[in-house]
Amino acid sequence: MLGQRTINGTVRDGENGETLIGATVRVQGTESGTFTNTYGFFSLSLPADTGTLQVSYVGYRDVLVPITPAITNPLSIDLFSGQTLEEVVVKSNSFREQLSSTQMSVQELTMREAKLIPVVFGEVDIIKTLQLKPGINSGSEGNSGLFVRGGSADQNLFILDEATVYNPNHLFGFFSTFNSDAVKDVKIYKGGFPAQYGGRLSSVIDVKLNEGNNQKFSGTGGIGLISSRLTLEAPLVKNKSSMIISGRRTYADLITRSINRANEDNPDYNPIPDYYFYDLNTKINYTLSDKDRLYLSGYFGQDRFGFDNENFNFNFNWGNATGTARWNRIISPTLFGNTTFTYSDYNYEIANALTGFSFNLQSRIRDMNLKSDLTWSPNNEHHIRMGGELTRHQFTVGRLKAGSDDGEISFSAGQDLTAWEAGLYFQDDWTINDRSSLSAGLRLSGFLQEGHPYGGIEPRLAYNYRLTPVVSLKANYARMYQYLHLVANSSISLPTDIWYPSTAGVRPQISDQVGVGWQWLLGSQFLLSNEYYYKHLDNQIDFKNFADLFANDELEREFTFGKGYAYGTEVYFEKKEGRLTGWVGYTLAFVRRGEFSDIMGGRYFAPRYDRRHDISIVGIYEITPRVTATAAWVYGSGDLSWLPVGRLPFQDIPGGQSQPVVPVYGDRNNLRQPAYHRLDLGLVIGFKPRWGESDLTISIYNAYNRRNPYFLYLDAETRTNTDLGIEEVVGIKARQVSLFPILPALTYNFTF
Amino acid sequence: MNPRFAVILMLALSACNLEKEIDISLPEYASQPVVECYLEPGKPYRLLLTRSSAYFSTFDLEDPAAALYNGASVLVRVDGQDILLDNQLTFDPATLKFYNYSSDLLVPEGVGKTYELDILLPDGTTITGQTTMLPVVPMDSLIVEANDMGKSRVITYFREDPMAVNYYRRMVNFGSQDSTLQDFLVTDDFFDTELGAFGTGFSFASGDTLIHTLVHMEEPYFDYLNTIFQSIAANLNPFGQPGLIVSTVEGSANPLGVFTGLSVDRDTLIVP
Repeated sequence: MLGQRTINGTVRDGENGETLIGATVRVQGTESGTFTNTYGFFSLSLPADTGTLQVSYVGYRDVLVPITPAITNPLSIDLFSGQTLEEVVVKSNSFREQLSSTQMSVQELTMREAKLIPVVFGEVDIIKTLQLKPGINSGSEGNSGLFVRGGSADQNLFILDEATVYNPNHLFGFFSTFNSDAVKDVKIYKGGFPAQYGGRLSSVIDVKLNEGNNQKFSGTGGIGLISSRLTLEAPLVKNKSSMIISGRRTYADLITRSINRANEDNPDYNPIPDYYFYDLNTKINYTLSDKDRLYLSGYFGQDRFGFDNENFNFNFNWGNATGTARWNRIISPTLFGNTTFTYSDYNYEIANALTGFSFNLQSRIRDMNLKSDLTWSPNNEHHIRMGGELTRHQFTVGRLKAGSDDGEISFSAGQDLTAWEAGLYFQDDWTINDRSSLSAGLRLSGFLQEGHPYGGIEPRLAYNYRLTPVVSLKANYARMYQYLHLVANSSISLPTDIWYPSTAGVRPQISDQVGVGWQWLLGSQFLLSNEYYYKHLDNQIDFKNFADLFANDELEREFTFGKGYAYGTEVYFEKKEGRLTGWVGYTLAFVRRGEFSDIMGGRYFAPRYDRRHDISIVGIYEITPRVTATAAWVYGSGDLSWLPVGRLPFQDIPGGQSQPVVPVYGDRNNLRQPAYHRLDLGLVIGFKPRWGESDLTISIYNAYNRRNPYFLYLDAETRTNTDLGIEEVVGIKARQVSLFPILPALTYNFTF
Repeated sequence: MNPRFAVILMLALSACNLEKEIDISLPEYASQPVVECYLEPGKPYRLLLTRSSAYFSTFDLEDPAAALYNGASVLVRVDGQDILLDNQLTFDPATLKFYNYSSDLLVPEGVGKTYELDILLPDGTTITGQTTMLPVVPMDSLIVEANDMGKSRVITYFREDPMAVNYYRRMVNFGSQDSTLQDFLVTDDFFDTELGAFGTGFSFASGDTLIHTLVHMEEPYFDYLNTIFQSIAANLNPFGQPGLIVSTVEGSANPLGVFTGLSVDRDTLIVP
């Protein structure tokens, strides 16, 4: 068309040079516009040589960019936060963007929400805050495991700067591995998955790290009850290159070591084992030219548990390491390229030595992945994404080495496995007309393990129809393949949970999910969303009766295969603007699994996390510009427990301990626990010292001290029969164990 | 004590009380007969037949024997000979074990002998089982080692065939057979060498008596005991996964339990 031209560029935070994801770039006075992609890049066709771009982003003041014939690509557009506290400047047009997007079943978490909403022990935790959103369950109290729309904990793909994180938990799931100071953006997809994502059935949690301030040296940190953290960022070459390094460490071990030292001379003292965890994130970026940018980022985190004395030494260490090298190139005004190499490693090791003997058990998964993506915007109606990736997986499964130091006695077990996974995808986000838009995509996936190939065709569709200017109707469908499986026999995340590939005997898991929903913009401040979903699950994996998953030469002999389905509805009412912000979420959900030949004769059963009702109410109220109060109340129908229905007396052989009560278990998950509910309160008081900003965060977890069920057990009360010298049962009680009572916490945070 | 302080202390203590009794209603459960019969060469034929019960069923404290299942016809067959066990309550004070079916006849020596169990219950239902006597795997040696603190540990060495699949139970009793220090199950799946070993910690003083036991087990008995142990553990462990008890007996009575030969090596050691 005569006079038409394409403008492209990058939108950044003017204060620190961070690229902004999802910023709106619009031709002023028209409906024509686009969003910046994951790398802050946009491409937009203008109807004429001249015009004005309006660029906006949540929390920032709009910028108007006049386009003249002289202006050249690529543009670099800087946005600045408002005059008041940065985070509270929110534009309601983010709701309008949601309304017009085909994407549904996605939840975004702002860093403001993550930092203000208190979680247990006052620690900021993005995963726990995500659990407050509809459709996302935790496995149990305080746990970072995610059970999304009836999916199990292994069906979530955690991506940190494009690298897979295989175990996103510290301390048995009480803390997640993501240090919020280093995190720039978090999205969780629960359905309607874009075609670039694959490999897990139920969700994708995409976490992007900050790039580092390329304008000036700055830092942020905090001192809390459990851990302290510090992030430093600085330009290496101003406007061209910057770096960020961020660390977090717990310090309970410093106290326990002091106690142990003080009791060194006490022969009756049992030393407290050492435990700590730490995370280290770092990222460097370099602007090679106005079209090329290079990023290097890494994550390293470990949990360390140890005990040591002169006769006995025990160490249990586990952790993730990831590395990402990424090259972004603006190939042409309409074509943006991204090539990434990632490395990911998760391993745990249990090492035990006692004079003359040793024991070592290790499991590990290591990935190397190369992928390339192209974003092509031939015009404003079509935004096309395509790409491919190849991953090499290496597994060490239950590698046991034990025996005497002289080698006369030796035990060993374990498997080493290698597999290749590949994916090719294409997706077109097509704005059909003013009222409707369609995202149509296809992903082709493949997997090869020791000569056994699998392949999958994964269509992805999402449609949006704008019924009125304030009401949208949406629908989506996605098929997903999962070629890696987590071997975990518990709903609680354990470091010993290990990943296992699809093999000749283990077929890939498959899900088909369909969703429909609507969104209604109420005034300029409120968005009401409602979605309905149905998900069918094939080739689901569970474990045989009392499976031995710890050290096993042929782990897959313990697997049993079945199907599943889940359905439900989610209602989400959100307010993003004004002094009071927050949301109300409600989920009604059903999930069943069955047709496992080794479980209940193939009958269907509800998994433990089949939670019927889930409610979350979250409010953030800015009392004054420096004082913010928060409250979060959650309610969930009780999870299911598998309790024994009968008992038998067990006498045993001579020398064995007689057991008056041995539980006899029947059908799985036969009892619903009492309901779970909890109120968390927080108060953030800001200060303005000369060197920067600081705040004191006071939080109260479980403010009304609800004793929520963590697990139930049946307790037999016995007495000794003095005539016979045996224990006899005089009563049975059911007991509930809770984990966290009311827990106040204090955290000091600072920024300079 | 200042009353205000006492109130705050009480509130703090009640806040930390994280365990409480609750009322629950479990699904219905139909009682099953439970068999325990361990045939040890040179010992009399003895069997305990009891009933399982619903978990919350009431206990008859006046009659602890009410759980016994009497009135059944119990027969063990070996070498073509039927041995009928009498329904009589016997108590072995040395081991503190009860039996309600027994015979004065002794279980014969003989590795590889096959024994069959036939039980006819008063309601006409049956229980059957079969087992083959395994060879005893003897403990090779018990070695005592002392550390600088004057405490000792004991290492139990034994030799076995790493090419075959074997199942073992290792027990250590302290002082007498009713005090258990170690009790666990192990297979030789992971053994690379003919020589195997089990050890204790440096926990013992001179004069302590330790009874070491190595049981060579058939796979069904191993599975039964493993599921018993794991069922007990799963009830008390939030990380545990419950499961079903895998019995070695079967029949129309839908029984639980074990019928097995017992190939045991025991050795008593007094720490020097």
